[in-house]
Amino acid sequence: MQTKEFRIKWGMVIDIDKCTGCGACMVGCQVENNIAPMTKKDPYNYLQAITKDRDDASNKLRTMTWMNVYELTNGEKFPNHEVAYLPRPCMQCGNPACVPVCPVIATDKNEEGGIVSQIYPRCIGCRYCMAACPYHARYFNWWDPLWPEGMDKVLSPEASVRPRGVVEKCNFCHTRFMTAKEEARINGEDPENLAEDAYIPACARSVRPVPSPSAI
Amino acid sequence: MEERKASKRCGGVLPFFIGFLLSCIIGWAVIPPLFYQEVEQPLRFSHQVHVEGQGMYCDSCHYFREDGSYAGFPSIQQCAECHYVDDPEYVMEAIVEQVGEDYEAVLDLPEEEMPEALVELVMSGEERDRKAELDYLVKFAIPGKEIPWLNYQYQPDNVFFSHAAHQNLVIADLKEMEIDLDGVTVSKIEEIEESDQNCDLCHLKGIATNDTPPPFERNIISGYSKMTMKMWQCERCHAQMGQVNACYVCHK
Repeated sequence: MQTKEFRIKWGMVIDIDKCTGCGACMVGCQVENNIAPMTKKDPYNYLQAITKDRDDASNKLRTMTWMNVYELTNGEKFPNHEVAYLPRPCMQCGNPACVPVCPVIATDKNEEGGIVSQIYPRCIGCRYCMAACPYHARYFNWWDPLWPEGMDKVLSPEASVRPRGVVEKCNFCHTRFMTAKEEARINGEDPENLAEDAYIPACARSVRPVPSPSAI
Repeated sequence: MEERKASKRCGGVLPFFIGFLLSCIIGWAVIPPLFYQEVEQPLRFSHQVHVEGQGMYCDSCHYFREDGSYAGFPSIQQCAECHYVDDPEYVMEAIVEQVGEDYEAVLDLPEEEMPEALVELVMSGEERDRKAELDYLVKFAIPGKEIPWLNYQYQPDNVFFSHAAHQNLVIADLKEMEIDLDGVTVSKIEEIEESDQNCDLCHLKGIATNDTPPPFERNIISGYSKMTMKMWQCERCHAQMGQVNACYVCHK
């Protein structure tokens, strides 16, 4: 199969043997990327008496988890029961199945670095890409994002929020990549030739010790 | 003969042209401005007074941080490096004593009737500058509030603009640039005005030395600025400079 080649390709390796399924990477991802917790009641909906409640996080078909930890078991009873955990971000495929199916080119893999982009205002919400993705790494916004009172204060400027009706997915913490390039530029380094750990996505950062303050 | 009569009854082509002309005028000149609302800056900040009068440099307030990000608008702490209020609580008490809890009402008084503690903080000479400075002191510096500047170059939140990547652009070079991209020639951008400062490429012309900031033109539907750069302009320049136009180069 033909893959798109780039001079620079960012990648992440996950040691599945070490994963204990703690879910810290999922939390790190949600905080970094402004993924709203799902709430049943909408205080801004003045027609609550005649409308149905929103889905809450118990409906796993409609939750947003750009980074999702799957639990894999052999289905046996104790003592033969074995379990493994599989964290699943967007795989940033070499030849992504989601890209050619998009009718509006809202998703593409065309930037040096090899990250599959998703432009939310451009997305029309047809969900063709979700059907095409073999990893179920894409999510549709069934509801407008809503942060409980006070929690909106911790929104990150690093990721734009998505409205109802568009598809979103892991962007490999792309803003961290951009800020790493900015820092390189101001320090007179080549932004196209960053060090291997110049930028680390939030999921990986939240489960590994911080080496030095300057590398955060 | 019958047809001619019919056309005469409707007045011929003239009413059609008048109607056409009218709809063009309404569509192009009358309706579009109705979508924009002019909003004044919270403060009459004069670049002229600070740059020409006080000899300040652009990067005294607008500078790069160590991590490469850009400090666009200065915070009131930075303003306080010159406009220092030694004891804001004392000045506030003096104002409240004079006009009551609604401290901003002190600005309606003539300067002679204002509390001494406030007037002695003003450094400007000319009357209108003194008025602007008093505005700054009473509304922001003394109560310790940040100034909610309106950003003419405001971009939607899914745009990532790197000042660091654009700081070495030279407008004169840009005007000469013409490149061939696989047989498609990206021609020179003629309408760029010559300027020594590359900030002028995107920011308002002459903003760095103007005396009264122009009003911010806000789109009443989207809330975006009329004066900001549009995506096609970013893309055209990127193409012309041989830079990539991939989505994630600018979007987040």
